[in-house]
Amino acid sequence: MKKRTACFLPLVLIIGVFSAFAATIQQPAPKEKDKSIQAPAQQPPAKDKAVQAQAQPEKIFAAPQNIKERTAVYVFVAWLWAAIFVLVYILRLEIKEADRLLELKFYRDGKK
Amino acid sequence: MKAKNIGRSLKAWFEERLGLSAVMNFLGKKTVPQNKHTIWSYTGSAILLFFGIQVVTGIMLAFYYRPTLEEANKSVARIMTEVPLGWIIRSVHFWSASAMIVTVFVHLFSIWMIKSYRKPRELTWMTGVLLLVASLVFGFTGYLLPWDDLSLSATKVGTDIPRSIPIVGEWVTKFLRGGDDVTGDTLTRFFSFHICILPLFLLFLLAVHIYLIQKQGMSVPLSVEAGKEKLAELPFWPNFIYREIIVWLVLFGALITVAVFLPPSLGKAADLMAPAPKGIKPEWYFLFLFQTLKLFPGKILFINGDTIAVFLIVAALVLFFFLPFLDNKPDKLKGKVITWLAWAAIVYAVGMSIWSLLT
Repeated sequence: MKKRTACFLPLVLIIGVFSAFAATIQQPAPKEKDKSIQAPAQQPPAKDKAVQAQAQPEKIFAAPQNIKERTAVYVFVAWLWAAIFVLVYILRLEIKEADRLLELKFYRDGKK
Repeated sequence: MKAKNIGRSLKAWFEERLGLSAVMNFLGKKTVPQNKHTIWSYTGSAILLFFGIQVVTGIMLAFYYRPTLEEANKSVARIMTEVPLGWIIRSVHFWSASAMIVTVFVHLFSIWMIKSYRKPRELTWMTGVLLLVASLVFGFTGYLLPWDDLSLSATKVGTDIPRSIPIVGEWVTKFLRGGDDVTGDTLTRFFSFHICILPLFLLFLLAVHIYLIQKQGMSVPLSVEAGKEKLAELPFWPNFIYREIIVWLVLFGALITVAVFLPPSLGKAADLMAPAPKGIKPEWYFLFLFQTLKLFPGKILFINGDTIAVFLIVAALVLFFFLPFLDNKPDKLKGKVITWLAWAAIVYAVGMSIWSLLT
């Protein structure tokens, strides 16, 4: 029973990571920022280069734009780390078992 | 029951054609030496992990990226602001590139310190150095692709360096730029290098490198080689691979976290006519070379200072490449000198990089 739970736990966590990931995908990008980036193409021909340079943002910073998107990203990272911790815990148990079998020379005949 | 039979016959069908049982047998019998240096062997697989992430995220970015003068910067801006999760994918690509170069440096320096390059592993070392060079060129070509002010200026400076090499220098600069100056042709050229030529070259080198590691095996301490100490070994499957998976998971988590919280920004589209912005600096892994070049005066006696600097850098790289032939057998004094040289190289690279960052 315990082993079965251990098998399902990473699965649940992985599903959690993907659902958090999917939640971030579903967030539409903010319209205001899109406009600022597309603005130079939509404007009529500018009189000089300086005007064009002003229309284009100096630097674009990539980050979640609203609270919903930010929360989704944080949830995704939290799920990811939770999944990693559980997987590491299970792997440590597996390592202990594999090392114990190695010490007992359980596979010696089969492998050499 | 029926599904089990189908599974068995499918397995037999593949086995007959691919002979996978030989590979499984090999993996089952493969062992990894266990000693105080084993920890460094995890850096090798970490490089593979980061390279895999680079390939996957690189393909995703290539769906939207357009390598033309007008579209390059706009398409990156679109990836960052319009494409769902585009900013995370770009950030993961950016950070895994740096992580890959860090692990390649750590891997090579650990091999240098423990002197695993000695006979019969000379070719393994040499392919490793070529892999480092390929990773650096990957970084250099990728830096131009966002086509912002900083990347344009840094590429201008970077591609100008070979010009100081006598006879072939001018040709090398023209070849890199696809003309006399950095233009749209340079961008397409760098893009082709970044997504076609370099991956093929790197995959070939990786295949040779991994084959050589399998052929020669991992090195063991001298005391074990001389038979003074017993060789402790760990089966690759499953004991070692489980440990590797833990390292991969933690590195993957760290990479995603850094990528989410510290995404790279994008400057405004580069203007070919605009003067170079202040404070041009290359990526962190070129800072020590950049600072070294800055240290040299314009003229030393009657020779160009840059020519001497480039010559010294190339000479150091050649010595680094042929290190296994300079230190080919165990020798106490030579071994100590080689270890000190490794430490000196690390201190020099870190010191120069910090100096460059501060000035």
